[in-house]
Amino acid sequence: MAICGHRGGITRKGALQLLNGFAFLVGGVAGVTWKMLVMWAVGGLLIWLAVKKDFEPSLLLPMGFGAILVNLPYTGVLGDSGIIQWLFQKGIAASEALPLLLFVGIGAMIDFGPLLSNPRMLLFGGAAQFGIFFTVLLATLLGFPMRDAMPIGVIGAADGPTSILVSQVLDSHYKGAIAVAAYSYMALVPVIQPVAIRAVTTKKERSIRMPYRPDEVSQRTKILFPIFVTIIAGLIAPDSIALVGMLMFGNLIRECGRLEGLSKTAQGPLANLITIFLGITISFQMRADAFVRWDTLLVMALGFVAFVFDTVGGVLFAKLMNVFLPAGKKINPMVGAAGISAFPMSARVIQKMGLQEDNQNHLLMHAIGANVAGQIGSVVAGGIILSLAHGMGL
Amino acid sequence: MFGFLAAYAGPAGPVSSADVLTALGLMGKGMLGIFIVMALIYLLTYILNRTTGKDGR
Repeated sequence: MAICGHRGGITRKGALQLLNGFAFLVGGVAGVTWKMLVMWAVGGLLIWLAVKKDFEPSLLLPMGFGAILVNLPYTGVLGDSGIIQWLFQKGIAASEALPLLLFVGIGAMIDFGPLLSNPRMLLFGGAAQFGIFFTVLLATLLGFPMRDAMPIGVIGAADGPTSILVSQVLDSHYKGAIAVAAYSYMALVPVIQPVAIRAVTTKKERSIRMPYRPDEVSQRTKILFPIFVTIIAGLIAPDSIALVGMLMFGNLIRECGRLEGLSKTAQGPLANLITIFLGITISFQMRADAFVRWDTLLVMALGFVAFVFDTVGGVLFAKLMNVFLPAGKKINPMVGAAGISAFPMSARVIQKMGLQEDNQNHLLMHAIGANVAGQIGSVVAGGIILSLAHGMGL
Repeated sequence: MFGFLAAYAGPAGPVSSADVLTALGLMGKGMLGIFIVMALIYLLTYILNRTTGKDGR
């Protein structure tokens, strides 16, 4: 009352002057755009998925918070002295350091034993990358230039760091959407894969039993494996060497038997630290002006297609192998679907589906073999995509 | 074969038959490349399992 009238101490003019003096406080509110509001909602959705649904929380939560952080008006985390921009420029744009170093941790976490004792599972790690190339074709048919179509396809690698790396190297316009799609769909593997598998298999095929009789694997094999895989990948697909090399370096630390401390550090603190910064750094690509476009939805839809056709590719390849395998040696086609990189979610899905069809049908170890093959297959596929892109002058 | 796609406008931009042929070529080369690498790793694993024996454990 005192502000509006003359009875108190402050006049209307005085009140306006007072408000003008505090205009800086509302400058940010006035700077909010509808696109920023959309990104706040996207950030909120990612945080909700992480917290409530437990979908890849270690990455979706930092990405969700970062999406809000970089979409505040006049945000101090962007610009030449902004921490998120600095992290992005140094950690991703300059050398892809964050995604590559994360592979050291991932490599240290992987036990290739189930794959080494049953190496034919390696073929599924190749077949289940079909969705990548199918989606590149589909994206091209929709009119995306090859610079964007290729990284969109790599969403199907089910491998977040590889998707980020390929989209950065090819300088795609959809880096943010690709990262979000890669991690979101990876978390949705337990939902996507059963539907896709049931669509291309019969109950009889899903009930095929696969007894697990692993061959013993020597430590020497486990040590030599990462070294030779690095050499093979380097010779055949040189652009995959950064990805494969870091993955195999981490695995060598694990398997050498002399670096237990380093192995534990790589699996735990190193991987966790990088994950924290990778998630929030990727949010640099989630600025409203670059992210809120109708074709972002198209990219997300194509990523879904890539995941579905990866699964279908693995299953159909297993069915093809069964044509040539004698009775009693047949492969349960569902195991082929585990050839994607989403580890260990995919293997768990296959185990669960196998038990649903036949409560004595334990497919877990076969599926884990295919799943770790998928880890190799996805980084090789990323490298091959980069090699092909460079061959096209991109 | 893909002449019908010439100058067709997709939702994300124009598409030419050359783009489609390029993408098909990528699919062929990419899948072949992956299978070559995986087959070589398969061969390597087979050889390692045969030659290193179980004594290195």
